[in-house]
Amino acid sequence: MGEIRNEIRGIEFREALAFATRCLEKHRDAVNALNVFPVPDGDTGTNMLLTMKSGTERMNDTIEATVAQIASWWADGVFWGARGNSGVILSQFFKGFAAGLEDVETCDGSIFGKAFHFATEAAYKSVSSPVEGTILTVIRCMAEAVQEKFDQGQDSASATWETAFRSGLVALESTPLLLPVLQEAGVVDAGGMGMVIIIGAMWCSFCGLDDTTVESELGSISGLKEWAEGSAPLIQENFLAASGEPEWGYCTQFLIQGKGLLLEQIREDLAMSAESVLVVGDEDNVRVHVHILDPGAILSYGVAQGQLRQIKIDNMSLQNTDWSATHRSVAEIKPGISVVAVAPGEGLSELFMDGGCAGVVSGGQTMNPSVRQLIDAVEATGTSDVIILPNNKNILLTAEQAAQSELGGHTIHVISTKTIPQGVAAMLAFNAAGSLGDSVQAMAAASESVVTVEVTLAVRNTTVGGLNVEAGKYIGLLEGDLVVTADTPEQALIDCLQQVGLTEDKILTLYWGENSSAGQAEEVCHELKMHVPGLQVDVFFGGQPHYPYLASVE
Amino acid sequence: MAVRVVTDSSADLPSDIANNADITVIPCNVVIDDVSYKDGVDITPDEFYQRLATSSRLPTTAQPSVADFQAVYQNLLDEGHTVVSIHVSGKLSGTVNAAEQARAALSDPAAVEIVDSQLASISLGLVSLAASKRAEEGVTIAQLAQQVRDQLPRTDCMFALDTLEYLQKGGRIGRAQAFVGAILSVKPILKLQDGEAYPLERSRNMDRALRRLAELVRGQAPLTQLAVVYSTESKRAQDLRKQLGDLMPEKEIIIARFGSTLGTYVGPKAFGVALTSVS
Repeated sequence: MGEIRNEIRGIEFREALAFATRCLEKHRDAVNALNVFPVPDGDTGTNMLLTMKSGTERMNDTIEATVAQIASWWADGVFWGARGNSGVILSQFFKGFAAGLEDVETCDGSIFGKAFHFATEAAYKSVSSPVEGTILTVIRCMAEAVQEKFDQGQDSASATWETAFRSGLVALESTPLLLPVLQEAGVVDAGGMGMVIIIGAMWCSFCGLDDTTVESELGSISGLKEWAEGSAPLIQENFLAASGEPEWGYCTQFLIQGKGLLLEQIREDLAMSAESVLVVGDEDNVRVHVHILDPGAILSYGVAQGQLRQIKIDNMSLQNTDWSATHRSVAEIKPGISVVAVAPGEGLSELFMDGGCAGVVSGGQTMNPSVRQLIDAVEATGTSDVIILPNNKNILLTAEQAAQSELGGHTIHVISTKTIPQGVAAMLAFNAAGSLGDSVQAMAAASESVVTVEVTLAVRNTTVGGLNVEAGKYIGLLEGDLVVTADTPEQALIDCLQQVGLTEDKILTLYWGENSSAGQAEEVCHELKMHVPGLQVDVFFGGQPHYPYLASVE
Repeated sequence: MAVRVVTDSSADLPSDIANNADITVIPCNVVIDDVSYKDGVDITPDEFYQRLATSSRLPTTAQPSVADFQAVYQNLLDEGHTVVSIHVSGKLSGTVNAAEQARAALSDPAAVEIVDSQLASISLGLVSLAASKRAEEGVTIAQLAQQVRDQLPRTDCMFALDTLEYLQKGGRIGRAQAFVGAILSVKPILKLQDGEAYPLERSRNMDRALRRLAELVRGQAPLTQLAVVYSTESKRAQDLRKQLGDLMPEKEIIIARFGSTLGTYVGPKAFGVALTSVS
């Protein structure tokens, strides 16, 4: 189908990446809808999209760049912008892919085949306990199929990418057979689907196809919820404004720190006068990247939004723009230990700061910060050793990726906290006056000593663990497992705590979120204390989105 | 003609124990609402904690005056004794300075040895007690002073406070600054290290903090001396002593009270343990 392309040039690779990003954006909601847990913040699609979008941050627009160079710049960009587990694995895929490419003018099937192989190794290595039935399976099957076809004599670049796409589809369909929770929920793996969309779109781009091929193939898979049917195909566009001419103007980047920043609005405003607009972040921190003739106008716009930091302006008409990471603010680094926590909600933010953290990263509405956001917080502490508390199992890989990035002067240690209450316990065990080893040990032990309960709204109908969940009802998660469903968040909380078993020597800590109120929280406390007199209940305003209640029992 | 032990009221040594051991306790001063009191002489602990609860301003403390020291030293010297004078950490109080100045003004300064214990509260009390027992065995002033210094590394004290507010406002927070932040009603556990407050851990409530104190004490066993000290809640102090009964016969475990001097910094509902380990 489409043109046969024996070899691919750098410029085409760059266009394909951009096309894949737009394709993923189009189907982001469908990917999000695949999350097994019907929770409002399981945004695999959004995370992978934001990861892809950050691929342009280190991109260079020269025509002469080879595929390997493009891939390397892309890998660099997505490394820093990676967020969410799938986003991080995706970034590792690109890192491996770039490492596996020979630095030649054009790439054929065999060169891409090697790259897919390297990509698979990198992806698997990035996860301490790889699980089959996930994005990893899709990646692996793609590489294996490509190798097999190559051994059989297929060596054109386009055939290689088509093989990757089609085998990825097959692997995606098999994920429910490999992972029981997917089977029970009746879905395929979300990360795997994101991967198939990306690879499929790139194939289409190489061959001059629009994305309807990808769509129709995906649409035929059972287990895809809310698949957008009949949507208009994305027409492939040239990434460069005009072919054959180098771009000129200034590449302008900065970080806006403010309150209530509106990403979409900023993006729209900037797109009116600038090219290659990239806007990522959340309502407090927005990273802007544009190409424009007059950077002054963009800076003035930024200043009106908030405080500007990490401002970097490069003259693109000069050859060999240096894209090294010198735009990071280099704070003076002193020996010492600090803690950076990830926490959504202003109450939780205050709690961690009061408890002794040097910085809190919010991660925005999707509650998933990028590698870059974590690194910024680490650098802002100014201390040589920084402990990160991810406080969410979808942020663990992002934190580990941040820990592995080579930062001058900082060593990052990750305590694998998967929930906010685990993070609070870890933070209370931190002792700035003691040794790093003692703190790390104490914090890890403390994080394992609490039982976490989370209550949120079910966003879809599904079946998990034998429990039928209706959209619009409330669900209670006990140590990450969905165990109860109820009509009100208070009831879900009480039912969940009943499963934990409360006795009077325990301490219950309750954090109420923006979808609850002090009054409701107090009422629940009152009821719990009636059942278990003498129980210590600490109620705290967390302000977290999506989860009316987070609780811990210790 | 013996060596006599002198200490100050921040040692929180119960008066009957001090008297039986011939230890002279020089009172520090505490100022409440502009009136100065001699700790343990003009004001009892109960009175102090009542005033602490009702006074609008926090009390302040002051070391004994040089004259107070001189009077005590001269008295003991006139009786034919020599003196080993053991006092609260120089980082927490100017008491040792006052002692040094008083000694310098004596006709025979060599008759008084001064030791900065780097400790406070009943741990200082334990050191003074051990010293007075050794003095009974008949040692020279130089030997006794050395024995005291040798014991110091083996003597520890740890506190579980209801709040760090008093310590912080009183300017003695030291490295425990790391634990300031009264979140989730946590109770800080501190120790004295290098003569000042040092943060150890934070507990979610006082019951757990006291259990941790007991565990920390056990970790240092076997012990030659052990004491429990409290500011306002005697029952819990008694319970803690009972819990520690396996380490030492209960009646040998001293129960002391944070006097006005320590009380100014630890506040009400505070607890502490002091111990001397065998090695």
